[in-house]
Amino acid sequence: MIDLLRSWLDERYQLNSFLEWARHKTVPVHRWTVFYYTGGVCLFLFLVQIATGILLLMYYRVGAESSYESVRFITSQVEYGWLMRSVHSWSANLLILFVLVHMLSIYFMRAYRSPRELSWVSGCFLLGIMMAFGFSGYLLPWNELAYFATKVGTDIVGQLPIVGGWLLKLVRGGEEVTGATLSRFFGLHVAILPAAASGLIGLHLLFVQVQGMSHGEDAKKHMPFFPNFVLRDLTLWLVVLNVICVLAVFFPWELGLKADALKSAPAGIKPEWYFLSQYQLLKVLPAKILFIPGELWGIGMFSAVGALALLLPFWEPRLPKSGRERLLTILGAGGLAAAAALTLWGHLS
Amino acid sequence: MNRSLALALVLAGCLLPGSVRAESKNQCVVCHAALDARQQAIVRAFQQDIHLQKGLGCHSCHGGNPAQADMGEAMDPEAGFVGAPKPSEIPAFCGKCHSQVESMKRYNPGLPVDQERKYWTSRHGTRLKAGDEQVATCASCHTAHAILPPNDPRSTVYAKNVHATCGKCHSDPKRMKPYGLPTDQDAKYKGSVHGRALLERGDTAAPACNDCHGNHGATPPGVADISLTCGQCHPANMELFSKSPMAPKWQQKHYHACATCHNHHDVAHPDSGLFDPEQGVCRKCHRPQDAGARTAGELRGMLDGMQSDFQAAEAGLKLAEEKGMDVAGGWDVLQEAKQAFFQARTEVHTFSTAAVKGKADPGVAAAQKAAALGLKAVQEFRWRRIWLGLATLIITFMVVALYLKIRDLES
Amino acid sequence: MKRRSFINLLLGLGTAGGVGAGLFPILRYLLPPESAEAEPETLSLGPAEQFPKGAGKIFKFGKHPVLVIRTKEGNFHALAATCTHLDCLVQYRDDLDMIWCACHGGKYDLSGRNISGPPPKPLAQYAVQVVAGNLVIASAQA
Repeated sequence: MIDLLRSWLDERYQLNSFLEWARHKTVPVHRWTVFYYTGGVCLFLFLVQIATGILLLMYYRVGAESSYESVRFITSQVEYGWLMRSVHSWSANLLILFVLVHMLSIYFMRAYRSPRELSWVSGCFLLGIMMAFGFSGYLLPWNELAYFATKVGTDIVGQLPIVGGWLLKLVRGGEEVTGATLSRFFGLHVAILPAAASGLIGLHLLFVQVQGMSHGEDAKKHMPFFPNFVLRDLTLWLVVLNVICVLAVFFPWELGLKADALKSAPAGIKPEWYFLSQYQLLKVLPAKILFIPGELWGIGMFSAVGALALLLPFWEPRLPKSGRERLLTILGAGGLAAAAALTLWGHLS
Repeated sequence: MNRSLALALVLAGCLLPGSVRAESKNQCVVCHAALDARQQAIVRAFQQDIHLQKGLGCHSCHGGNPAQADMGEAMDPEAGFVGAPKPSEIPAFCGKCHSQVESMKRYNPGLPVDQERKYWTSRHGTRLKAGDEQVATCASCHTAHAILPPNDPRSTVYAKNVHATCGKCHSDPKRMKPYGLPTDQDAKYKGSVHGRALLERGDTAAPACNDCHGNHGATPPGVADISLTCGQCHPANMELFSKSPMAPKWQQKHYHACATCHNHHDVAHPDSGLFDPEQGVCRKCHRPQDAGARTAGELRGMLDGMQSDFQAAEAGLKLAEEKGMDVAGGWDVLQEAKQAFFQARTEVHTFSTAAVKGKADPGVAAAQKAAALGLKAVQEFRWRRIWLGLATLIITFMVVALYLKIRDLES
Repeated sequence: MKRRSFINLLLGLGTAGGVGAGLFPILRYLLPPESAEAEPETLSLGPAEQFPKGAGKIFKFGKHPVLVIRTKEGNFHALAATCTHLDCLVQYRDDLDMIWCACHGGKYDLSGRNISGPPPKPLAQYAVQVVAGNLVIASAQA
């Protein structure tokens, strides 16, 4: 029966050649092999997000008068609704965390180097998409924290010279954060971003399959991708799933109070941890540096760091060979330490 | 020595011919601001006085001519200067304008003009007329020179400040001794349900002294009026009570309707203990075994039952909330119970167990439903852990199987 | 039984259990709960003509009590029935043609404005419409 199906598929889609290829795909084994799993975990978490996201959509109703109520309905009335929402929230945070770990491991392994420049670039875009997912999804429950976090977050856009006002209106769908903003963020979160992310992930995976894992040449040992590596991947995915379930049960995501534009912002309002370093930087910059608003400097800095990171595979080979590795390591460690310090500072202040 | 020298110089200045001084200045302020501390305080206080805000000046009440620098001419009784009124003159002094429709129309058409007339009917007014100058007059409550409208929080007659304003005299044993009046009203009021609502919770709808005793016609409510007084804000209670079989009997006995059970200045948040057959207020007339006492006992049981149902549900919901469960639905149901219990508590003024039961039963049902929701949430909380345990077990099993599989593959 | 097939059996069992443990909450989740919606957007109160004139009735709109009034002239009004002072239920008084709270005598006009007594705020309004002869109320924002 299975053989029949296989030959039917093979006639039409050359299944056997694909299976043949998969059988020969290997993963290099060395000190840093463990970091190859981070990409798989990201993929798994993305799948969890899609699955729980679709489930949440069954009951979620976007709108200033229904978003909060429907989320409350999901968490308090629908069976296992609490689980779906908490898993969606926790998995989102872990996803960003693992994307960051994945990227850092690629950076320190220098795996972005030729010929894998485009894997790196697509990965950078994916990080951006995941953060946009986080930012837009945060508003959807329409609670107090989300409302003010979005207000503050979108305010930054308004600081940009010339296009700021226009861009702010575009993002908010008006002058203020309202139901119109909610509709926009919802569309972004459930249609545009998933489509973009799926396409880019497909591309990203295609690149890896075509080029194989990095450091394949230097490794002495290899393990077959299927089934050895896949089974290990699966094992790790199960562990991650279990961790998410534990987090969801012991630290259920809070809903808080419904957003009220007329209330003043609650004290100590902060963005999600992955925006905290940027937020803290904007907060501590002086109001004016050399006649230019501090916020613009901040936005300039993020943009510069982002552009440098995105184009890393293109400028890095032009650095002088002597001392390049040291410089890259110092740069990476320094950047990481600075971001961690700002995040911690933001968290404590 | 320096001060008296300065005073002498200023006084000399005031006596100088007017032409020497600037014409536009209010001469009353110029001189009185330089006099002793008391006069300076008057000048300072008057800066925020409502009369000044409305464009009136010293001379509007006291007469005289503020443009005249010469003291003799500025304060010439021939030209209408009246100076400070004696206490017995104050009501008429203020009434010069406040009792005149024509003058009040110009400044505040919304303000009534009957304060003086009401005042003369008050205990304060009748005593003043009889020659007692120790009693309160307009200025005793409103101040003389820092008069503010009653909705200004700085005003001595702002709702939250009234008890202290009245208490200034009524809590002073020396002042009250000649009249044989008690001095504990303010202390009692502050601890009462009304005082706490107004002073602690800041509910300015809660009554201060004047809301029961009247503003200008301040009088203790008479025996017949007390239920009308309370009924202003507690209409349902008054109506139910006046239709109850108790009302005519109490009238015969000259009981002060509401105050018989609830007291007056120290009106406590009513507690089911009022109906206790042994200690409660009913024993004033009812023996512990008679039918009335039995009814009281039943009412008490119902009130206690309501309260314990409510508290149990509340505790259950709080417990669920502490565990991180969302019990918003439970709080909504409990709110229904609260509303039903409000009505049941009001209904006790019929002294009919059937009437109270009719109102209380839906509330009891709601409270039990809320308690059940709380309990369900707590059970759900335990279930989540059991589910997690099971899931973890299965996942661990799969991980071990995968591990064995991998080891087997690679051996 | 061979070692390999034993391991495969274990793996199969584990997978079956895992799929079951995963599907169970998902299927339970997809089963709609008793009240199929978070918050109703409208509430139908039956034939409008049968609603007595000069009377008010309290209905539950989702979780919130709503006072529906029909004036003697036949106009409908719908307002939140919870007094803004201390949460008592308000009532329509046809003798005063006003909304009245029995707890402390607060009064509101028929548009819900607090006009006397302790209430600090007006009552929230709901939209009322007669749709095909049926009286329907809806939250005012919708």
